[in-house]
Amino acid sequence: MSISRPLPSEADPIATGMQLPPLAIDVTRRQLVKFAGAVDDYEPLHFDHLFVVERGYDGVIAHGWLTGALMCRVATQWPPLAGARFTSVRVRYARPNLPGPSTYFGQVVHTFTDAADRHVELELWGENPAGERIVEGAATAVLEA
Amino acid sequence: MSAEPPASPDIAALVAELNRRVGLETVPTTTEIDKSLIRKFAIAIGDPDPLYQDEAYARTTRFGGIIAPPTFVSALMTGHWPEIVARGLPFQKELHLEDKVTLDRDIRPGDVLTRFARFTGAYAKETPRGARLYQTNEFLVHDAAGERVAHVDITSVAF
Repeated sequence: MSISRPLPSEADPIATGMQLPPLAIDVTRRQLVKFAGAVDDYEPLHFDHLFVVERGYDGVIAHGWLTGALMCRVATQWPPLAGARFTSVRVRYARPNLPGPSTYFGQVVHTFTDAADRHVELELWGENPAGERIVEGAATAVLEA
Repeated sequence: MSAEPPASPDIAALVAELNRRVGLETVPTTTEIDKSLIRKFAIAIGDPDPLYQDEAYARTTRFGGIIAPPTFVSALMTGHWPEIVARGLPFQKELHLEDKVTLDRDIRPGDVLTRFARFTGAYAKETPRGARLYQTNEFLVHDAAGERVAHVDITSVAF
């Protein structure tokens, strides 16, 4: 066995271009209600089917912030970023996130180390089962070097 | 007379009217953050990280105690956003379009956070599917010492 090839544990766990493990989440109406309670936001668009149908929508849609939070979990749950402090998050809502399956993705777009810290910039996005983007954005994290 | 046709006068007037709201602020509210608020939020977003719920575990991390997930700032917006957004516009739909969050520090149990929203502008764009009217607002969170904890630029669209 060659000793010149680094073992996985010795390789840099964070590198530009690296894909983060995707996160598949089945967003349920129950989760929309839980989120409404957690953030104290009772906008009927997110739980009242009759209300939303009367206004021209097909059905209830997830809170933008819930979709953004699910997308960010791709980054916060990535083991190499354990202990990282998140300094910014950008979330753009591309399509309504309907209850049902959705998948969230991430990629390292830039990383550098300065005197004190390791900085990591991530691109994040989410897709519906048709492969259309429902959300896209970015996050920056700082790890003590 | 200009060679280019003017934008739809109704939209232009609406944008001008909305821009008179610039600087309008919501009445600040103050809340002491506790572990249960953070825990409830973490459960709602399905994040199993014990850093957000388990004080004994969180003490062993570099944070030295429970912190809130980075998107917890959304749990502070009641009474500010969308309340700051001008409603009742002559459009069929209004949607939340984008959030740009800057986190100055972690949010922790015991933080006494005061926040408000401020109207920052409106603009219109013509699209093949009709006019779209955008509104921008900012949401600011400060701690008891007056230090800024978070800032969010929020864009919504009516069409």
